[in-house]
Amino acid sequence: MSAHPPKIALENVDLVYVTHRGAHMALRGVSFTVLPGEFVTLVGKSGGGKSTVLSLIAGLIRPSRGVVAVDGETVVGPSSKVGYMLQQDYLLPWRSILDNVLYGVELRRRVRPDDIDRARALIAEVGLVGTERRRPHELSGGMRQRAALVRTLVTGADVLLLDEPFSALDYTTRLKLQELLFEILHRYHKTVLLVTHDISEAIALSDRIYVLGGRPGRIVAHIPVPEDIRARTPLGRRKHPTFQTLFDAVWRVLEEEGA
Amino acid sequence: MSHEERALYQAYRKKEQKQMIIVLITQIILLGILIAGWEWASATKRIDPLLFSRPTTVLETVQKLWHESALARHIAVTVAETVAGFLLGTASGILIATALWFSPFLARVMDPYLVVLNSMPKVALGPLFIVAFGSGMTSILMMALAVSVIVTALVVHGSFKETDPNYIKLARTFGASRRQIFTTIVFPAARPSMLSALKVNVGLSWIGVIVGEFLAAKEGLGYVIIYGFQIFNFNLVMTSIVLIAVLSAAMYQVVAVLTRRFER
Repeated sequence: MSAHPPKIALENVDLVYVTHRGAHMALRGVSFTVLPGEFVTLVGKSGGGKSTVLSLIAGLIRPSRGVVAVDGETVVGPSSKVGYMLQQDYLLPWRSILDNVLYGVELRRRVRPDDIDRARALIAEVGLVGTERRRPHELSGGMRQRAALVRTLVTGADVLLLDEPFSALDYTTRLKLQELLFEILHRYHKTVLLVTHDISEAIALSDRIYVLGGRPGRIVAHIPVPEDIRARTPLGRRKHPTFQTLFDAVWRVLEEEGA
Repeated sequence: MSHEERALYQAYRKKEQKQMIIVLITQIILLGILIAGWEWASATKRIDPLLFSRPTTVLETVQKLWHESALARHIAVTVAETVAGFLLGTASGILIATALWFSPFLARVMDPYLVVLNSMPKVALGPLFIVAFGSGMTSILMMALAVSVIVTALVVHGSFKETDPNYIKLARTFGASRRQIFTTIVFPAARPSMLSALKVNVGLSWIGVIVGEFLAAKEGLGYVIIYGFQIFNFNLVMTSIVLIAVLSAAMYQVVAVLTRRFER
């Protein structure tokens, strides 16, 4: 571990949400790390605090106790190092696809010609050539989520937080997008933290899995994905003979925790 | 589209067009009946022609007033006041809504005041405007402004607040400032509600301007109504009412067409 300083590190993080109805602890003593270039998944049931973890790393909220760090620096607010992909694409309906893709850049600085070139290249890479001038509503759900991926990549973030980005898609579209995302994120050596409730998705995509137990959310298990499964792409992993065994192992942990 | 699909589509279009024509013809016939009924009732003295005038007399009055060159002036004044009042009311309403969005504290403080101002009939303030701004155009514009500004502010602020929080979250993950969140997300997302406020405000501005002219004007269609009433010339009153109906409908249509161009 010491050879590679972690890209993402959470140390003993508590998070208490305070609203007018009272205070409630969403996370308790959460600690884990993600190394550079790793694909790590946080599995847990809905409402278990998974998205809260991502919001902490993205700098949208501050921990009540403990430390959240990216690249060894304590997170104090949103940073261009971290990209966040939401459950749905949330493309702005009044902008063209190209303008949507450049939205993140535009918020940080003046858009330069090389930003547009990079955006166009990435649009081509995810198979959206010809949609640059279209509006989001003219595209299918899968195409829109690919545009959202480009929007996240174009800012040059090397840490990507994925908040169930496939959950709104139909099954075949979901599998195809997982394949594409996996391939692209590995090619660009991105560090990825995915949160999902879908166990097979977690195994199909990641190097390691953390199981987040419920109420308040805490890490209850750490399950590395074996090397022979990891050697394959997501679709290939689903056909691996021990895929189901691993699935059952994660399933059991989730059940025992009542997470 | 295949040949078969095209045939079905064209049949559907034909049926739709036929329906539209039937509706239009019925509307025109109904208008004809209303005008003819008015003329007949007035001619046969079923209603008092002195009080309720009659369509032919209204036409004659329009012609007579036009040649005396006063009518064009009255129409121009009222239309100009209405357009100015409606632009002023909408713009100020949106500005207030923007201020309220930027300062939730201000929004909370102002809330009861806005509610009271909104439910209160603004025309009751007429005499105060005349005292404050003098008996003239300024008072009339203030009246038109007063009628539309509060409801615009409330409706537009409401739609600012209803912006999908996930869009705001998206902008925040890219480090957007509050000003950037407003200009790139909240304001464009509220465009439909601002456009519909525009349409509503056309009607409201007519109320403000006509009432304003009742109280403070020396020209304009509202003045013609009051003047006709005072000299007991109800031809003038009815003529002015008919003109207001036609002009306000026309203005609404213009705004509707303009706003449609901005929707998407």
